[in-house]
Order: sequence, then C-alpha cells, then structure tokens
Amino acid sequence: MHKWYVVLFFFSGGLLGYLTSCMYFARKARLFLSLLKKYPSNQFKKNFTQGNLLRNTLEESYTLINKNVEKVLSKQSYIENLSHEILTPISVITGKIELLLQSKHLEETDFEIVGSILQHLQKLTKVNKSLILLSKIDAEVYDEVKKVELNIIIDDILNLFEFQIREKQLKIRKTIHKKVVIKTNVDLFEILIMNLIKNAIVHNKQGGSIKIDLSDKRIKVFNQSSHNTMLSSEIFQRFKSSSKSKKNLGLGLSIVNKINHYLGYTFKYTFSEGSHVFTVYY
Amino acid sequence: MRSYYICNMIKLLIIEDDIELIRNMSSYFDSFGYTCEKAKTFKNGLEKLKNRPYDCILLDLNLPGGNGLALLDHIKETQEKCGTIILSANSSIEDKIDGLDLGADDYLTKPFHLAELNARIRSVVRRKTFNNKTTIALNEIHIDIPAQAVKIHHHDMSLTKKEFELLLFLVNNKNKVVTKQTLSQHIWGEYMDYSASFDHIYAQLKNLRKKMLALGCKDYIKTVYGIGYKFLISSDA
Repeated sequence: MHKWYVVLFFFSGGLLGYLTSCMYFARKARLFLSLLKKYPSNQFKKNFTQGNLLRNTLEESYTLINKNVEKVLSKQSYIENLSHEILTPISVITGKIELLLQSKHLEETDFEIVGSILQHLQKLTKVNKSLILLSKIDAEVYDEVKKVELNIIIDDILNLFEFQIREKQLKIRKTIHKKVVIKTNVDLFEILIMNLIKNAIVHNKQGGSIKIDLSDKRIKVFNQSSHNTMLSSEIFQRFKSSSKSKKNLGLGLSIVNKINHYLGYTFKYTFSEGSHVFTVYY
Repeated sequence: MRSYYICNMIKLLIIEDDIELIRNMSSYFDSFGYTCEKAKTFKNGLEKLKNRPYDCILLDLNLPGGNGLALLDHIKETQEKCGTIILSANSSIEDKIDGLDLGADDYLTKPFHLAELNARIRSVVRRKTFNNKTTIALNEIHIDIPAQAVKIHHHDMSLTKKEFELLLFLVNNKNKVVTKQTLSQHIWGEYMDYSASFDHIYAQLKNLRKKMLALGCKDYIKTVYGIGYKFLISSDA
C-alpha cells in the first residue's frame, strides 16, 4: 500500500516538474494547451483510483498551469493583435505615399513635402516597434535561456555597423580579457548590446573612438561625445530628447533599461575622461 | 538563358483582408503589367487557389476565417511552380522560421515598401518559374543574376555585392521613384533606420553611378531630390 503512494508521489512530482517547465516555453505552450484540452480532469479520476489528496493536488496544479499558460498566450496574442492594428494602417499610408510619388504632376516643392511625411512615418514606425518590444518584454515572451558567446555577438554587431563606423571615421578598441560565455535570452541580449553600440556610434563625434571592455562579469562601452554629461535619472525617461541633437536618446535607452531589469542585470552610467561609459553587470 | 523581363506578365494572387493595402499593391503592380487577383478571406483564398495557376501568392496571416498558414498546404497541393510570400505584422524570428518551414518562399513584415515587395516577388518568380537562370538585358546593361555579374557594352563591371543589390533593385523597379528608406532597408535591413540622414545610400549610389559611367553607360539613375532615386529607361529592352 505504501509503495503505491511512494511511486505515485514521485510520478506526480515528475509530472508536475514536466508540466511546470512546459509553462516556461510560450511558443511550445500553444501545442501544450491543445494537448491539455485532450486530457480533462475526469480522466485522472479514472486512472488513479487511490489517493484523493494526490488527485486533488494534481487537478489544482493542472488548473493553475492552464491558467498561467492562457495568461501568457493571451497577453502575447493581445500584443500581436495590437501590433497588427497599428502596423497595417502605417503600411497603407506608406503605400499611398509611394504611389503618390509616381505621379507625373509633382513639383520640387511637392517632393519636399512628401519627403517630410515619409520621414515622420518612419519615425512613427520605429517608435511603434519599440513600444511593442517593451510590451513583449513585460509579457515575458522572452523567457528562453541559452548559453551564448559574447565575443561573437559583439563582433557580429560591429560588422553590422561597419559602414557607419567607417563613415564617421571612428576608432574601435576592444579590451577582451578572455572568451566570455553567459546564459541569457539571446534575442534580448543582442538587442541590448546593439542599442548600446548603436548609441555609441550615433552620438559619437566625427573621428571619435569607441572602446568595448568585456569580462565575464560585465561589459563596458565607452564613447566620446559632444553632448554634455547626462544625469543618470534623465537617460531613463522614455521620451526625452537631447536639445542639441535631432536624434532621439530616450526610447533606445529605455529599452536597454527594461531589458537589464528583466534579465536581472545592473546598469550603470558614468562620465569619465571625456567619454560616456555604459556598464552592464550580468 | 531566358530574360525574364520579356515575361512581365506575372500572375499574382493577393490574399489579404485590408482593402486599402490591396488597393495599394494593385495600383503599383498594374503599372508593371502584372495581373492581380484578390481574396479577402480564408475561404475566398481557398476557392481562388483551385481556379487557376498563379506565379506568386501574397499571403496575409491574419485572415478572417482562418490562419493564413493553413493555406500553405493547399497552395502546395493545388499550385505548381508558384511562389508564396507571407505578409505579416508579426516580426518575430520564430514566426518567420515557422512560415518558411511550412513552405513559404519569403516573409515580409508590415509595414513594407511596395518596391521591396516587388523586388521579392520578382526574385521568387525567378527562382520558381525560371529555375534560377535569368539575365536582364537593358540596352547596354547586361545583368547575370545568379552570377551577380554586370556587363556594360560587353565589358565586365567590377562591383561590390551591395552595389549589385542596389542596381538590381533599381532595375527591378525601373521608372519608379524609390525612396532612400526603401533602398536603405533593402540593402542594410532594419538596423539602419536609426540614421536621420541616409548618407550611406548617397555614397553607395555615387560609387555605382561612377563605375557605370566609366564604362560608357548612359546615366539612367536619376536623383529625386529629398526623396530617393529612379532608374529611368525609356523603353523595355
């Protein structure tokens, strides 16, 4: 009699563990949800004739897991639907503008106006994409964790911006103590580093330099700038833009801040030796 | 090798529920000589698939009556040599991989530029209908797409991969104004959109033009000030 309880206890523990780990994979959770629907609780009643307590625990856990999976999925599909609602009209407007540009009756002043509309449309699209990213992070869509080599990520991102770096004649210095591998969500980490390096390029002076210092505890990005020192609290405000620059600082660093917060990293900014220094401790 | 510029009559099926978007695409593609059929719902799409063969299908995933992904199987069953391009507001890499795994040939996220969509359609049609063997002959310009090689007056032109992509994109959208944003996103992807100026596009095109003119090519690439560029050629070659 006791043997049954022990076997069933370990079996349920294993089952709970498996079901719980499934919950953390939102993408696979869609399939999981459909599987759950095939096995309603009265099936458990049939299979486990002994142990009311055990059966109740299983049913409760099952309901809880189900609820959480649905919550994550509904948040995700809510964001996807919102995204669709916003991006489709932007797509339509972009199309109309591109069609308008083909008209034979446009004068130079008309082109200027249309050009300005396009620029602002671009801005709108960019802001929207950033907001959707922020919402997705909040909804815990990015929960998959993998081992990743940071040196490779940094090199890939520097390659991406090769043209801008050359154009601005920026000098890149990398201080890499050794090969660094960490466990993290790859998508978010790449966005994080991309934003830091992008900012370092965009807000750098012509002929300036970028230094990247990488160790297994943290990454530091130094960039020279013609801006004044920013106050630590200011850089995290969502829509603050520097008065001297047309380029918007706010949203990019807001994303950096949110990613750091979500991944549990510490983010520091200081100004030293004529350079802005951004540090991420992972 | 067949020149696919002779076959401009690409038969398109657009499966999309947004009427304005359909209108945009129709207007743009009509001027190229493509035929466009439209389906606004899942069911409509299914019916159209059974009716006639298409060269390329533009498929929106958020359809009334069903997820567009389910149509991919039907496309495989009913359409031979037809390419599929998914149009979706969702830009997650996982969905892209899912779509491509299920048999789509390309995946474009909204909002997209019409010129970009056109370039993708031509690329997909080239792969499917012409088995990847195509050249474009426009007056003195001869473009071998698989080889990524360009000849001007039978002389080889040395150009970088990006310059080739730029030229091909402009040629695919010839006689149309193509915005700097469109060109930038085509060559460098979305990462370049932070730049307020598009100096990199200006620099690349300057180089391209210089190389072409050096080989005695006519100056087909016109600048539309403040907007972008246009590959101006008077008649179909």
